Amino acid sequence: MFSNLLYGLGIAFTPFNIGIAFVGCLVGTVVGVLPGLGPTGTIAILLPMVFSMPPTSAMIMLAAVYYGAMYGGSTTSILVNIPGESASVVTCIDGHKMALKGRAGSALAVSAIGSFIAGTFSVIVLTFIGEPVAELALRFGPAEFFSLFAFGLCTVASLTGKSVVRAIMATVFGLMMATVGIDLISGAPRFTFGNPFLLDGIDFIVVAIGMFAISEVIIIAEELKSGARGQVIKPKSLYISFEEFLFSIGSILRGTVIGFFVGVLPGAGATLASFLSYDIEKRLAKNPETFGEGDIRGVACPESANNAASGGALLPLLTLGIPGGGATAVMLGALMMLDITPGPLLFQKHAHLVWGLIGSMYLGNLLLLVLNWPLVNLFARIMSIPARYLMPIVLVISTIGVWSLSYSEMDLIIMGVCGVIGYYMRKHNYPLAPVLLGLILGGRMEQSFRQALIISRGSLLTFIQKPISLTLLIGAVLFLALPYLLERSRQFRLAREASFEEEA
Amino acid sequence: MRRIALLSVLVVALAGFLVAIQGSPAVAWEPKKSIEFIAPANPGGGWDTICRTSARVFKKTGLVTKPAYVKNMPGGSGSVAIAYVVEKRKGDNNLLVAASNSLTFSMAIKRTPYTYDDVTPLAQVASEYGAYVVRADSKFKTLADLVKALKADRKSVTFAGGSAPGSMDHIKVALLAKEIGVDPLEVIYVPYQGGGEALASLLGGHVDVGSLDVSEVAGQLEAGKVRVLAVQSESRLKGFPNLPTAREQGVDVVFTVWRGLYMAPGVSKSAKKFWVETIKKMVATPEWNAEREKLGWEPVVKFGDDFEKYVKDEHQRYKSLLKELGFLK
Amino acid sequence: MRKILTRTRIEALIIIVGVLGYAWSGLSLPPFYNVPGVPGPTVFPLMLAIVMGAGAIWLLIFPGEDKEAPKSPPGESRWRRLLNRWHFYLMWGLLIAYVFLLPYLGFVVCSVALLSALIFLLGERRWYLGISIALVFTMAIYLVFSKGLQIRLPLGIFEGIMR
Repeated sequence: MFSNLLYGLGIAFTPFNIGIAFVGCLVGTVVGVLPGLGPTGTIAILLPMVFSMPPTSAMIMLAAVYYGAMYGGSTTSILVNIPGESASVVTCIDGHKMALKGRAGSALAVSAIGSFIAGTFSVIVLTFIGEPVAELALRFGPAEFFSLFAFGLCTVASLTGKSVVRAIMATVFGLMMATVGIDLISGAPRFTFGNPFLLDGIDFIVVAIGMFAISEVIIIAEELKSGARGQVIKPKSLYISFEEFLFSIGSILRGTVIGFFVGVLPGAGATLASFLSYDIEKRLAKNPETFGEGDIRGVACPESANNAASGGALLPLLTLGIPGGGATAVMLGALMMLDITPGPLLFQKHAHLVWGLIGSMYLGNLLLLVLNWPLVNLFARIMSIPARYLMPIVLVISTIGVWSLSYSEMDLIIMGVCGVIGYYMRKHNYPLAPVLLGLILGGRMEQSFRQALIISRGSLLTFIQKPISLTLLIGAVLFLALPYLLERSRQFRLAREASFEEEA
Repeated sequence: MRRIALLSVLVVALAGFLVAIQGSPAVAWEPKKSIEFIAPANPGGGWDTICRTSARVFKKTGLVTKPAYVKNMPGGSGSVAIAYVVEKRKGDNNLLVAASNSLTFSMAIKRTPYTYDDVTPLAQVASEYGAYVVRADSKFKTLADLVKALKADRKSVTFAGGSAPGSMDHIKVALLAKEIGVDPLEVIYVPYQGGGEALASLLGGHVDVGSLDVSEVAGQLEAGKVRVLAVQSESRLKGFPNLPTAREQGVDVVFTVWRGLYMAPGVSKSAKKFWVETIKKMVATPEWNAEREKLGWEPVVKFGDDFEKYVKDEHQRYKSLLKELGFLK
Repeated sequence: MRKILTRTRIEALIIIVGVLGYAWSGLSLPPFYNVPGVPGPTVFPLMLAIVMGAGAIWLLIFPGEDKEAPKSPPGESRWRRLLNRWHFYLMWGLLIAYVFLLPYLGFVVCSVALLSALIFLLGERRWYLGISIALVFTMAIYLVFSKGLQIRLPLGIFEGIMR
């Protein structure tokens, strides 16, 4: 194994490949920062360029764009409360609060460090135990996926604002939006009203940008008018302090592990990973009430999770030849055009490519850290640009992101409508994040549920007969019930302590 | 000194360029601005590959000198793109759109109100074949085993494919069922979001048989993880001569997946002629054929009126097929 | 006197109407899409409609504390209040107009207009500064996205000139 790794590092550390990895990381960071633009489209654009390179260098570059994009995703979430990627929605909750309190630098820095640790961890796993982990991923069939998504949906419990009913309604609203489009299982067009532009459903980015970006601009306008928007607190330090780092290292590590294993599952993805890790982190915390008010752990864990997930998604591609969806599907296409058959024999037949790529990922993560570190400082200063200039420009850039998805007017119109709804919801105590969670998980959850039932010939028992599925479902129930149990035991303990003190 | 040399090189180059422009034979129509490809799907799929490969071969071989862009316009198996092209891009001579049987299915099942009459079909550039695939350790060794199991109990086998019921991967299963005298609607078929997910589910042992394209499983085949029971081609594939066809095992199921291009309605005759000729030249180049082989596509081509007639016939055939199979009332 | 028709209740009523529409539209699918024995395409939307409807009914019964908007000073009419918030409504109008008109008028025209208008509405008083920022950033964004990232932006009326 170590000889393979050394071999790979040897390939990666040629001047050309270092240069290529650097360019890839840079491009990835840029598209990651720009809201609405994702790695998938960028990789597709880069394809013609990389075909003139040797296959190994080509893949090094494409992979660098892919994991680089995850590094940049948190930036807009933190600075302007607009998620750059679907995997950075959760980061908005605590990240933007931190920025308003003058801790934008810490938030950006912790997401860079977390990303680095997570990225490196996933390469290490990929290097040493890639194959067994990939085999484990195949054990996930429709029944297991349904339970996983149900588990994911339970994380909504930690995203509730003041009203639980409203949070549930927000989630259901997201799930409803997910039902628009052709139903995969039956082929029936649902809620499309004969409009072909709705056949593929409502894209997540359209809703996210609409709800977050448009409403943010209006709300800032109101706050400026009424004077409610105080001066953004001048940051004391543009970087993270050592104490803050120590405080968040646990979150980073937990986020990394959760993110990696969710990312390995084909189709589950970085977004679910980030929601799950945020939820778990909040539940583990001694003082969960600080989450949502600018807790650094609320940035550290989802940002580590989404990076670990993007590394994890490469694993089934390399070891099994199965794309995890989105960007990895384009990379699979690229492999074929480079005359490399993606499949389980990739490691044996194209050792140069696989190990070169893995070697380059160690380097790439380091490059990204080096690249992002000065950017932290630069981006943190963006907070001092007056909102009256910053927000309109961000809005225009976000709109381009939406437009670039499929060049459709329908997307823009949906974005406008979501803006109105998002504004109303924010003004009236409906949390926005559950809408997006519902939208992301809804379609896949319904699909896996019905796929599982087709396979089991209609028997609902399938969900509890499969051990992985059963475990996840029990976990979900515990997750919902646990806070109440913990609360009661805490009250009980407090009462007992109080009585002890009286006796003493 | 150096500057003069550089300058003279520039002058010579410019002169050469001017001569080249002047000297080129007058053609009836040729593109004067950049070419736009529309891939009616997300990056990474078959349609996207047609566009990007053609664009690259155009550039490499110099068949088209103007730059070419690829725009992805996913939605409803081509319905979104065809609606856009018919409604917004009438008469655009610089626009090429990728297509395949999936588009015909969208038309047949009335997902889109437009048909091939509303656009300008150009050419088929390649074809591909599907196969019935099982895990290497499956109890089905040959197609006959599968047929026997289906005949004994039509609900005993779970099929998987990468598209919704009533479209391509499912039709391949339905055709098999129809051929061996089992009601196609009663065969268990699990649709997945794309061939990759269906393949993962097959490898994980969650389903029994996958209805997948041969090129999708090439890597797994090489590693011995899966076995192809039968390919749905007329004769054995050039790229995979070891795989048996369904026909040679006595089950007459042939299903060709074509990959091609169409243009907007109302394009000028000379532009259509130019593109048909250019694509004809393109598919003959070694550059194209090298790419095509890598993708596992077969060299079956049709052009202009031939192609137009073929797809229009296909539309009618699919309509009656879907009615026959019970997907269309 | 307690108001019966509070804002939350109106909200709940609107949601219920929306849910009924959703359920009706979801159930009106032709039946041939159903596969016997497994839940068809209507089951999941129906479940969602029920949960959403239950939530709305809950809000209808327990609307909770209804925080009224800060009372405007007495004597101020409804129209006066609307007038006071004119720039807020104008912003909504601009944003909606922007997403509707972008594909037709083109990126450059729309963005310059939107940017300068928004910068002004958000409190910038130096009009020359606002307009020059709008112009510079529109061009910069156009160059980065269109040339750098090869995203084809709609050019609208500039289509002929810029290509």
